[in-house]
Amino acid sequence: MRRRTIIFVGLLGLAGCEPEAQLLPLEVSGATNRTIASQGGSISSPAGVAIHFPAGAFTGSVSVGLETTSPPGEISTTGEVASEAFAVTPEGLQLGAPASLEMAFSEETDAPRAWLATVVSVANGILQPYAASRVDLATGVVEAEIDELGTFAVVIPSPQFVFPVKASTGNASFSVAALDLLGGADSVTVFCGGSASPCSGITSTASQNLLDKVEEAALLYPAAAGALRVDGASASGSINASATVRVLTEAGETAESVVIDALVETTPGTTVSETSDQLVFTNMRFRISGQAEAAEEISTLVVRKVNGDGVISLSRSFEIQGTDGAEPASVTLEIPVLLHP
Amino acid sequence: MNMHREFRVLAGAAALVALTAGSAVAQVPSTPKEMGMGGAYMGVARGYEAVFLAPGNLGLADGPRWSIAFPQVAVGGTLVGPEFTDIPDLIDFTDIPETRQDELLGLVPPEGTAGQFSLRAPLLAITNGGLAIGAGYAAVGQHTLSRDLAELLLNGYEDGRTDYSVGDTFGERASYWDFTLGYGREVLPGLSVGATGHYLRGRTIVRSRLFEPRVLLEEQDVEVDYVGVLSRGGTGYALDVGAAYLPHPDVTLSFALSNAIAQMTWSEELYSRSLTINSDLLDNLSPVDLVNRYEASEQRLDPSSTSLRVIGAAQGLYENAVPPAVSRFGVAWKPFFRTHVAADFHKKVTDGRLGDAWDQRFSVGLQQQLPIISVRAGYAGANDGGNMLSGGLSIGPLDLGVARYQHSDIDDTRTRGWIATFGLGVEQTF
Repeated sequence: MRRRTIIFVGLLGLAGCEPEAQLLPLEVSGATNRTIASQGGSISSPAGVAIHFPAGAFTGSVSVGLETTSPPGEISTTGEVASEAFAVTPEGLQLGAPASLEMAFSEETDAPRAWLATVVSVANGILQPYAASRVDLATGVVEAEIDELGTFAVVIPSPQFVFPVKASTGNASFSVAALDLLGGADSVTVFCGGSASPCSGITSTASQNLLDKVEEAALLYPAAAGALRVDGASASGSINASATVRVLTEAGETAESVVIDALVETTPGTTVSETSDQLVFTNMRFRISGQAEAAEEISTLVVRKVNGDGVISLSRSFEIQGTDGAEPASVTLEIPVLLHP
Repeated sequence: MNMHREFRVLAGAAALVALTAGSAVAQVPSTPKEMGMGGAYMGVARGYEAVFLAPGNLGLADGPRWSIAFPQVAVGGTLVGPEFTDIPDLIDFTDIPETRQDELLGLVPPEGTAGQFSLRAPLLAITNGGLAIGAGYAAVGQHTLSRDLAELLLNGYEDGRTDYSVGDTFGERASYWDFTLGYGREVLPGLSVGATGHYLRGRTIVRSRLFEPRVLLEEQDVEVDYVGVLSRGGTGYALDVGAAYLPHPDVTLSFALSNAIAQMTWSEELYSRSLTINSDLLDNLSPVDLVNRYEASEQRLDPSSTSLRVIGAAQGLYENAVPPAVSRFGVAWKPFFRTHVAADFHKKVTDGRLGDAWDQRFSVGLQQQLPIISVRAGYAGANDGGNMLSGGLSIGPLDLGVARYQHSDIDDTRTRGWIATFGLGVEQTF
C-alpha cells in the first residue's frame, strides 16, 4: 500500500512539468548549395534569406551557394546593418532575369525608420543598394529584385542617403538651375550617388494624390551621372539619373517603392540657347522608366540659372488608383549639378 | 480593375480559407452527460463515463459491472463578435437594412473577429470492473480575421481607402486519435485509485497565415499571400491518474490529474500550401476555386528552397501542440434517490492547446433521473469571465446535451457560441 502511495504521489509530482517542446525541422546547417536549372528554382535558409530564380535567370544549370557571412565593410557605409549577411555564389554572376530576394531583418535596429530598410549587395567590391525594396514590417522581411549574385544584407539607410519628399506645386519638367556664368556654359555635369559621394542637396516632390495615399514618403539612394557638352549652338552627351521613392502605406505595415530611372540625351537636332537666367536644350530625348513601362519623348530641356550651383529636375508620371478610377500621379527629383564655363 | 470586387473577394477568400482551416472553444466536455451538468461530472461519472475524465472512479465499488459507450460526439463553435444566429444576415449582408448592417459591423471588435471550434468524440469506451479501454477522436482549431478584412468582406471596398491591414489573421488546427487503457482499483474501503494511459496518434496539424498585402501602386493592383504549413501524423502519449473516495454512500469525492505526463511528437515531414491572390486570379476564379487552388498547391517543405513566408507561417506549428495537464476535483451528492448535485473545479497546470481551453473553471450541475429519462442542467464559470449554461437529456441509451457559451471582456467584446453533444451508452450495474 505504501509503495502504491509513493508511486501515486510521484506521478502527481510530475504534473506541472512542461513537456519537451518540439522544434520545427527547419534548421539548415552551415552553407547550402543547390543546382538551379534554366527553368528556375529557389535557394533559402531559415536563418533569414530566400531567393527565387525565375526561368531564364541562368542559361544553364548553375550551382548556387548560400551561407551566412560577416557583412562586408562596404555595406556599412550605406547605413546601419539590420540583418545577417549572406554570401550567394558565384559572386558577381549576372542574372538573365531578375531574381526575387527575401531577407529577414531586425526592426529594432531603428524602429522608426525600419520602413526604409533596403537590401544592399557587394559583388567584386562593387556596392549596389536595391532601393526598390518592399518592406513588410509585420513580419520583418524585405523583398527586392536582384540582378547579380554577391553578398547581401539589409541596412537602414544613413541619413545622407534619405531625402524628404514634399508635395509638388506644378507640372515638373527637366531643368537645370545654375550660377550666372560669365561667358556662357560649356558643359553641365553631374556625378553623385554611392557611398563616396551622396547626392547632397537633392530634393524631391510628389503629386498630392500620391502623398494622400501614404503615411510617409522618402527618396532613397539617388544617383546621377553624365554630362551635356555645349559647342556653340549644338550639344552632345547624356545624363542618367535614378532614385527610388519609398512610401509607407497608410496601414503602416508595409512600405512600397516607386522607381525613377531617367536618361536625358541629345539628338542630332538638339540646339542650345542661353540667356542670363536659363539654358535651353531643344529636341532632347527623355527616356523615363520605372517598375512598369518606359516612356520616351523628344522635348525641351530648360536650364534655369540660380545662384551658382544647379539642380536637375526629373519627373516621372504614372497612374495610380484614385477614388473614381485611375488618375495621374508624378514624382520629381531635383539633383544638384555643376556648370562649367 | 475593380478594386471593390478585388477586395471583397479577397476578404471572402480569406474567410473561406478560415473556414477550411477549421478549430478551441470554451470548454467542450467529453460526454453529453458531462455537458448537461455544465462539466460538473467528476463525482458522478461511473463506468465508461470515467474513462476520459476520472480514472479514480473506475475502481469505485458502486460502479457498473460493465458498461459500453458508442460514439459520443461533442462539437462546439464560437465566434468573437457576431454570434451564430447572425450568420444568415452576414451571408445576406448586402440585402439587409442598413441599420442591421451597422449593427453587425458594430459587433466586430477593433482587434478583429475569430471563429473557433472543438470536436471531441469518444467513439468507443468499454469498462469491465475496473478495467477500461477506449478510443476517441479530437480536433481543435481557430481562425482569426482582422477588423479590416471583416469590413471588406461585409461592406466591400471603400473607395479611396488604402489603409486596409490583414493584421494578425491566422489559422490553426490539430486533430488526433486517442486510444486509452485504464484501470482503477479500490485500495481501501471507499477509496479507489486509477490511471488511464493514452496512446495518441496525430492526424493533422496545420498553421496558416495571411500576409500583409503588396500594394502595387503603378499596376494599381494588390497581391496577398495566404500560406499554410501542415504536418500529417505523429505519436504521443499521456497518463491520467486519479483517486476517488466515498466518505458516504451518497457522496463522492474525485480527483484527477489528466495528462500528468504527456508528450506529443508530430511528424517532421512538413508540407506547405500557398496562394498569391491578385486581380487576375479574382477575375477568373470563384472563392471555391481559390480554395481548391490553394489546396492543390501543396508541396513538400524543403527549408533550403522555400520562401520566408512559408517559414513565417510555420512558426508556432508545434507550439503547445500537446494535451495540457489539468487538475480536476469534483464532488457529487445524492440528496435524494436518483438526484445528483455536483460541483467541479478544474485548473490547467501546463500549457497545451489540445484540450481544455479554459485555464480554470468552476462548474455546478444537477441531474435528475426519472423512470425513462434523465434531465440535467449546469453552469460553468471561468476565471477569464467566460461562462457556459447547459442542459441535457437522456432517453434510454441516447444522451443529448447542449450549452451556450459567452464571454465579455473589459472592452465589451463578446465571444459567443454553442456546444452540442450526443451519444449512445449502456451500462449494467451489479
